[in-house]
Amino acid sequence: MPRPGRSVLLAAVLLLATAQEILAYTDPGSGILLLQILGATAVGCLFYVRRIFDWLGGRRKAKRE
Amino acid sequence: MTSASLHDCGLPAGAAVPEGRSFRDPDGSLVQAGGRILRCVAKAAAARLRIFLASPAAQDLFEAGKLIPTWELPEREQEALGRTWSFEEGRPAEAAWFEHEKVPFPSYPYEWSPGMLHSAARLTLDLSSRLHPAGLGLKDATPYNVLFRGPSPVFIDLLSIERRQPGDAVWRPYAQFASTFLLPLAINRRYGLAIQGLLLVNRDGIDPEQAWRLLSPGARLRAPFLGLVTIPELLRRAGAVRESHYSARSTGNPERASFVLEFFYRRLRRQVGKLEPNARTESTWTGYMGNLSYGREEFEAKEKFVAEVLARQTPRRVLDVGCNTGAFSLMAAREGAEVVAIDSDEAVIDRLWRTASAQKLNILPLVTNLARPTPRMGWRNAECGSFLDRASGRFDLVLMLAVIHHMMVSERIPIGEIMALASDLTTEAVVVEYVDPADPMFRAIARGRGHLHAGFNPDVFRSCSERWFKVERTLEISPTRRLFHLRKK
Repeated sequence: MPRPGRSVLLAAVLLLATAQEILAYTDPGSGILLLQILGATAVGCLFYVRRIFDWLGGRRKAKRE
Repeated sequence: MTSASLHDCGLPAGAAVPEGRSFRDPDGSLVQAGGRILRCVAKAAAARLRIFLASPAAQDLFEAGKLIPTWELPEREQEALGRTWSFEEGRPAEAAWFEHEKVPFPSYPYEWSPGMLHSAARLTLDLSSRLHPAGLGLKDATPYNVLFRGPSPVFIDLLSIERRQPGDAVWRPYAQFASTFLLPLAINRRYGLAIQGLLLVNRDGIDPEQAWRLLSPGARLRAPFLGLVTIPELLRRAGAVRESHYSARSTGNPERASFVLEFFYRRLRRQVGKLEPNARTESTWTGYMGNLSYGREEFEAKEKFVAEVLARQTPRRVLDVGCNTGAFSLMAAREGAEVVAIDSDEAVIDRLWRTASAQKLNILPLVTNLARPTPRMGWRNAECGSFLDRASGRFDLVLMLAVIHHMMVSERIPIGEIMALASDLTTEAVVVEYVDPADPMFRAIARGRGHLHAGFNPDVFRSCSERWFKVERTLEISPTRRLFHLRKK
């Protein structure tokens, strides 16, 4: 296939892909939900970090006693 | 349901009519009967509601005035209303009946000032975080779950309270809370757009996509819009959300989920705190009382006249039209009246709401222009009543002080029409301030169109009023202003 043809095909594919993205329905609030899920995952990790610190703190206290 | 049995329960025959606004919830429907607010609840939801009503969490919330008092109807009344009440196909086949304390004057989010919307947001969040330790949560977080008793918000939708999945670390109604509370408050604070304009046509609030178009590139990168608009909108555009994200998922560790939710509530409380509307927002009308177009003595004469009307009539329900910062609403509330105060200016309504809240006075201030009152809204225009649906014949005294010239000049409403409406609103009396076309304020708002009102004078006003009212008393407070106490014929 000559180069210009490939470019036209590529452009058509991109155009169709973009048009589909614009027309596809997505819940307007979905991004907020996803951001909250990501935040909940990050804070969930913090929960375990805090547990490790609590455990280390408990060990140090036990040693001192 | 038979008429005789309804009558036995003190409910007028045929008076039980569904409240249109509640049909969306498959767990129950709201019904008005004989001036009472009843809720027909499906069997399973009724069982959950009974458990909640008996819980210490509910008792605390009732005592704190955060939840509308609710009780199950006695057996006899339930039988009379019918256990198989059904409005339409798909309604609960087996049901129980509960009653809510009636809120004197229902109002809607698009009639609230920014401070009122903010206080409703705080109530919703506070309620959700207080329910959390009891293993409960909210199904939804919309301002339509809140009404105002005087200046105080109260949560009314008890069917929104549900048992939370212990391992779920996500507050499911957050997107709704952001769209209906946080974004309108943030946009109001940043750009000064009125809450009424934002929420009247956007029942579900402002979503990140709408807000994105409104924001400048710089604002998109700053708090609170970065987290409320920009990142969510980019995630949405990237198509990163899957259907599975919508269903509650257990982390398998309730302790961890609880830690995450408490962290989230703390952060959200801080965010809501930062969105508190500015109490000193200025508008054309906020300085009106300090810049009257007539003297202090005239204003004192007006105060004395209104005080005498209040003392003589002792009204129970007062409507203050064009209330400004509420000098006369405050007088009426201090005399024991339940006051609804309306003005088209959001800033003055916000100030009055703050004063009434601080002084614990029974005043409900609403952003409403009587010349273009709040319309009926929602499905079949029947979900939320218009202002006039709620206000007609409800008040025994209507105050129309320094307002009729605005309606006549700015809105081009004939004086006869204004007095006809006043007659619809009041059951007993109205106090009107007549403002002559020669008055400086009349001339200022007429902007050169004074000739349109050249024939307007006290005699014309009196003859227009006498179709519905008889003059009880008049007082000239200045050469161009006269007060009329009119009693309904």
